[in-house]
This record gives sequence, structure tokens and C-alpha cells, in this order.
Amino acid sequence: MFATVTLELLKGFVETLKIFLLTVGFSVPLGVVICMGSMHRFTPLRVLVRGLVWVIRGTPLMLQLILIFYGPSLLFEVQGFDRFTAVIVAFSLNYACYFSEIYRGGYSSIPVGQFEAGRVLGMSKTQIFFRVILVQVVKNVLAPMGNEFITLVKDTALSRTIAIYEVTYMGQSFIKKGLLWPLLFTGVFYLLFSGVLTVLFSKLEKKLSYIRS
Amino acid sequence: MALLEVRNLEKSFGETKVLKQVSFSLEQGQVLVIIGSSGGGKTTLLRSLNGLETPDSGEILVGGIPAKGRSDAFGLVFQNYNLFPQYTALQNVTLAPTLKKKGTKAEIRQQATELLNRVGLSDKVDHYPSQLSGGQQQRVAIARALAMQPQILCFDEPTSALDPELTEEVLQTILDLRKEGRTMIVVTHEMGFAKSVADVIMYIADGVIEEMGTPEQLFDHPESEKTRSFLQHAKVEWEAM
Ligand SMILES: Nc1ncnc2c1ncn2[C@@H]1O[C@H](COP(=O)(O)OP(=O)(O)O)[C@@H](O)[C@H]1O
Ligand SMILES: [Mg+2]
Repeated sequence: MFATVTLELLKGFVETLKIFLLTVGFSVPLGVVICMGSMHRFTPLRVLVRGLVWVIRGTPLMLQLILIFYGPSLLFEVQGFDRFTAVIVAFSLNYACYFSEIYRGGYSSIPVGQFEAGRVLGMSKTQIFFRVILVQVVKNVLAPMGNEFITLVKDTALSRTIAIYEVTYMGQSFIKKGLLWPLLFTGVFYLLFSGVLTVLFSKLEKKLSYIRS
Repeated sequence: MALLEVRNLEKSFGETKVLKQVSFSLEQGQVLVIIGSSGGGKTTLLRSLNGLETPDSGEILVGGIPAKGRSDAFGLVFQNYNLFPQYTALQNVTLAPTLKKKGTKAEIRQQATELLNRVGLSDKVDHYPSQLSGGQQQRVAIARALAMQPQILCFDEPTSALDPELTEEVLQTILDLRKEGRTMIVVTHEMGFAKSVADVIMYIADGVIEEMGTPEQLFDHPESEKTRSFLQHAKVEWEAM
């Protein structure tokens, strides 16, 4: 019995892992693009992007997920995304908006003297960004990004709303057979996963700890 | 002809005129010390020379050529060092010359090592800024500025962020540079140091050069009433320390 349950949960966990990795893969770079938009000199663009970020951060991810999955076919009568794609689109967009704010904070907190020191030494804007600023931003965003990653691990469970068979869904399916413990057992998967991430991030933070002025 | 020629420099921030018709010149190898109360425009003047502020009008000529956009004209040492925290002392010094292709890697490294040696940090080349004292960081910053071989090196209150016991090593470094015949502009509140390092002293008040002359002229026989009163206050503070 235990083996059967574990196997089923593992199947679910593979889905969970896929959602996590794909979301990270898309949202980390998309966050950079959104961040650049939210700091752009061109005001209409900046206002538009900040508006988008406000909406996405101010409404439930579950709502966005449902809207992205059912919206296209119901509103425009076009073929929408399949379930899994809808999850990835919704999650990536949502997390990219959160990341963009973290990036913006990490960038804004770089002392202006770092830019000026580069300028006085004759470095170009690009050189200053890539050789001086970037690593410091990475260091600044590491801790808040770690928190978001752990939140994402748990948010993957939301995808069951549109019937993705991730690990929570699998655990819950045993309730029909009168078993509660498989659902509790899924907690172990989440705990192990977020534990690994915590260790990984604290290692990274340690690695960059020499960067402080 | 003078190495530096500043003519009718003007700079406003909004409604406030911070520099008013600032004109002066500086000979090759001379050290100019700028003194004056806080808010007088000393930092704005240095920043304008270094291209960090765009003057509203006026000219800045180094060797007869406008300094704008030239990285060889001025170097600047900041009050709070502004070292790049992710790089070692040596890397801080080599970064800009490497990017600007000032020589081969080996040449740049060699020069940087010599510069760090000259500011007394040969045993700290592989230390990160976070592992150095304020005085050591400021000396790395001096070496970093020198590595770009600027014709005129500027210092904006290089010791005012330092604990008193660490100011001496930085002031000594600047005195050493003077002996090498470097052309320098130093903003400082250390009057004793000003006297010993300056060929020329400039007193700035409210964006105007109130008085300029040799240390003897300015400290012993100030012409302007404003200068006299400023020095009196400075002297009281200085003696109180
Ligand atoms: N970026 C700025 N924006 C607005 N006002 C400024 C700015 N920088 C300096 N000022 C003003 O210009 C005046 C001169 O400042 P500063 O050059 O820093 O003087 P000092 O270095 O002699 O203390 C001050 O009144 C200061 O408030
Ligand atoms: Mg100042």
C-alpha cells in the first residue's frame, strides 16, 4: 500500500517539479523585461507596465489561472491554452511581476556612488552595469528571491484548480478510498523540496557575502 | 600656459545658483586646496570638473582642450571611497584600465601592483574592500584613480568619512603624491594639512571664489572680511579638536 501511494504521489510530484522549473525558467528572465519596463524613461510605457504589475500582484493567482485557462475560449471563442500551458503562462506572468519588483528594489538600492565611480573612471554605461552593478543587484535580490521560490513550491498546488494532477491532487484522490494519510504525506514532498531550496540559497548567499562595502 | 583653465563656470540646481562665474587656473604640478563652509559649492565644482555635473555655462580646459568627455583629464577620489565591493583591491585598480585597453593585461597588473605598493598596501592586494579599514579603502581608491593616469587628480574631503586615527595615512599619501609633482585639487576641512600641502588655496563661499592665493597670503593676511571670519571659526574648531 505504502509503495503504491508513494509511487502515485511521485507521479504527482513530477508534475509539481515541472511546473516549478518551467515557471522559474520563464519568470526569472521575463521579470527582467518587466523590471526594465517599470523603470523606463518613456512614461506611458512605465505607467502601463506598473499598472500590469499592480493588477497581477493585487489579484489572486488562482483567479488569473482560471481566467487564462477559460478566458480565451469563453470571451473570444478562440482555441485557448491546454491545461498545462495555461498553468505555465499564468504562473510565469504572476511570478515575473513579483520578481520585477524585487529586481527594481535590488537595483534602486545600489548607491549612486557606484555608478559615479565607474563614470569618473571612464567606463561606459554598459560596462558599469555588467562589471560593477549586476553582481551587487544579484546579491541584493538573493534573499527575497529565495522566499519567492519557496512560495512558488507551495503555489504549484493551485494548478489542481484546473485539474493538473500535481502532488496535492494525487494525495487528495486517496480520500475517496478512505485514506487521509497520503494527503498528509504530500507535505513531506513540499518540505523536502523547500528544504533543498533553503540550503541552496543560503549557500549562494554565503558565496556572495564578501560583497559588502 | 596653465594646465587647467576654468572660465566663468556657472551651475544652478533649480532656482539655486550653486556656482557663480567661477574662473581660475592651475599650473602643472601645483596643488590647489579648496576650503569653505558646507554648502558653498566645493563638491559641485569638483563634480563639474569631473563631468558628473553638466555646468550651465563656462569652459573647462585641460592642456588647452575642453575636458568634456575625456577620461584622461581628471580623476576623482570620493569622500566615501566608492570602491567596487565585489573586486579585490588589485581588481579595483585594474578594472578600468583593462576595459579601456590601457595596455596588456600584464602591464596593467604590473602598474596596479606598483600603485598599491606606493600607497602602502602591497600586502592587501587580494583583500576585498569589506576586509579593509576606511583608510586602506581610501588609499585603494587613490590607486584606482591614479591607474587611469589623469592629468589632474581631485579629492573631495578624502578624510571626512574616516575615524581621526585613520586620517593621517591618507593625508600622508596625498603629501607623497605632491612630492612626485602631481597636479591635484583637494577639498578639505583639515586646515593644518591644507597649509602643508597647498601651493594655492581657494576659499569658496556661496558659489563664489571669495579669495585665492598662497597659504601665507590666505591664512596670514586674508584680504576679504569673509575669509577672515571663516578662518577664525575654522581655527577655533581646529584648536578645539
Ligand atoms: N543634486 C543637487 N540637487 C539640488 N541641490 C544640490 C545638489 N547638489 C548640491 N546641491 C546644493 O548646492 C549647494 C552646494 O552644494 P555642494 O557643492 O555640495 O557644497 P559643498 O561641497 O561646498 O558643501 C548646496 O546648497 C546644496 O544643497
Ligand atoms: Mg561637499
